[in-house]
Amino acid sequence: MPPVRLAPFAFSDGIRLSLSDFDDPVTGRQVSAGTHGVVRGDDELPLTYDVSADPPWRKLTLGLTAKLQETELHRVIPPGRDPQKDVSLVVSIACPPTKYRHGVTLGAKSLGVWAGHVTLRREDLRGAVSLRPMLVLTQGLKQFSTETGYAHRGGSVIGRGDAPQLLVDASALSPMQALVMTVWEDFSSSENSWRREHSNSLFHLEPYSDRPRLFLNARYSELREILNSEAAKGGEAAVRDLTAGLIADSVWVQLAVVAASAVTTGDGDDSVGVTGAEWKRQLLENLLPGLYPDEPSPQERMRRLAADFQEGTGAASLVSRIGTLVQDMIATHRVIEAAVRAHEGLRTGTENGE
Amino acid sequence: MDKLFRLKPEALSKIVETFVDTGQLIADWANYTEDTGQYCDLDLLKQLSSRAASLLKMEEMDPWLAPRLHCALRIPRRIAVDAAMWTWLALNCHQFIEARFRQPNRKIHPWRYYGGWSRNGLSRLWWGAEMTRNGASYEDVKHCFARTRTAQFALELMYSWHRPAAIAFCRVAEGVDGERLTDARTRTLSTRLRVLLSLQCLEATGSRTIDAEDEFDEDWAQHRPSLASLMGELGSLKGPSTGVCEEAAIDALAAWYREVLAMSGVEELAVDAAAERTDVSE
Repeated sequence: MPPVRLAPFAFSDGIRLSLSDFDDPVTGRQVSAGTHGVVRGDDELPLTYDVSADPPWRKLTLGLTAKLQETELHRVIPPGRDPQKDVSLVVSIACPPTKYRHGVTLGAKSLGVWAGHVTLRREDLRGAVSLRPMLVLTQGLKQFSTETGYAHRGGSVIGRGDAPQLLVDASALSPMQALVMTVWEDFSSSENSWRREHSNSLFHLEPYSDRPRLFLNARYSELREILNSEAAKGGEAAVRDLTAGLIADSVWVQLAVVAASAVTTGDGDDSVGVTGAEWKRQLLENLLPGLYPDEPSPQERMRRLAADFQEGTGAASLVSRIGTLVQDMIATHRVIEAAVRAHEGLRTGTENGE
Repeated sequence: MDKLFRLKPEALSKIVETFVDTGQLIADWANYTEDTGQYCDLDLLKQLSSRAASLLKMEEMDPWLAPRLHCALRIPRRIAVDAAMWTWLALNCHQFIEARFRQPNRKIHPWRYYGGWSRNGLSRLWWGAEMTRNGASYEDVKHCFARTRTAQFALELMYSWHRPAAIAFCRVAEGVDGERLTDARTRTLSTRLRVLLSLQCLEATGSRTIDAEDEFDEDWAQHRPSLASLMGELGSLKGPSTGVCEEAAIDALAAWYREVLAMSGVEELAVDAAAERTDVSE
């Protein structure tokens, strides 16, 4: 169940923005854009469009199409207003590292459908870019009715949607985003009996299939709100990062243990391999140098992992070391430092430590 | 032109903390640097920053140096996000960092060298100038850096990334066409904006046209200013031609900010409630 936004006027969270037709106008070549999705109900929505592939583009032009169901459109527009003339669809494009933020207006194609394009320059961007669709009442305060329950001020946002991301640099994608598919679900009504029986849980990892699925409990609408927060610093950012860290720590340890258990050695020979999904091999490739720093050979590391996992004290030591590596990976200490600073800022009324 | 370097991440803490503790750079610190692929006029940057350090009072340093540093260091935002590059520059311009941030009986906090963009003693100035320049004009940068608090609230939140919003914030906070806000009122405005902007489209407020534009001006970046030109008046500095804001959009946002400040809020309600309790007890 999606979270409900409490707004003082009719408001929709149902806008869906999709991106298409990526090309570099400088060279005229098409740019490929792989997608990473997120599951909502029965649908998988593209959450991230990966345009980081080589050769790097200098400029990137892409098409934007936003859709809102007609019934939703009529529900949020003040009575007597034209759904095609009195609202505009604005996409706010933001790149947090470079603080690039510009809007682009899409043209109305039909009722509830808007389209347009935008061109971005590589020098203005780093990491990932978010594109947030917003349905906005056009300017001209006085022309709108003040009927209760509807927005009337020009510039008011009466609809929003999830913000897909453009991944400009591959390093910006967190390893967890790349590996795990996120699914929001109300655990109390889950088809999965384990989750239904543990409906107070915050999250549940299914590390079984080709791609692990992380179920987040939609019952906690505040959880979604805080994890989606775009705060750059301060208390809100600290709560978000602590929450994300809490989940990530557990998820990574579980994934690492599952991957370690998939290492098999050959009978009577020196062969060693990883059974099952590809993600397990990828994860181990990243983890093993940290687990066995004194062992230069990747094959030998794998062998030592298999041996440790099958032996009692070896397994205990292994899980302990995985716990430490995960902390390093998600930089737990930095999250805590930032939270302490945020707390000090709130306590003293300052935020920059002067 | 000189190569623009960055400190290697693994050496960053060691070099900075040694420098802060002893005032001395380790002898072979150049071995812990790597090329960013960009160029700068390092001597120009050193001269500019040392003049700010030696000729100006502490409160005058930021508004003077910010636009000049930006005009001298013509790099794209993609490069300017690199904290390790700013560490290298701050160590090269340490005379300014020391003059600006030294406090009696206290060492300079190392984040003035290796901190994030808003902590590093130089990068905060460059970014503030980039975010509040209006096309080629740096006139609004002086409002931004008139007070530390104004810079903090104008630059460090998500609305700050929208240039007209950041400029309007600086003008309202510093009392251009109105009353100068206290630090507390500046904070109140910032807090209220964060709440209200979940339901108000910043990009659509006061703008006649909404379109994504380039920030980096490649032509401008290829020209090298002289020290003499940078030592001139603020109005004579020429920044990038990109990022021109409509005055109507800045005015509309400033007017809205003043409306937001005039709203009665929980702070006033709390004062009223306290007053009521006092009345009753009396």
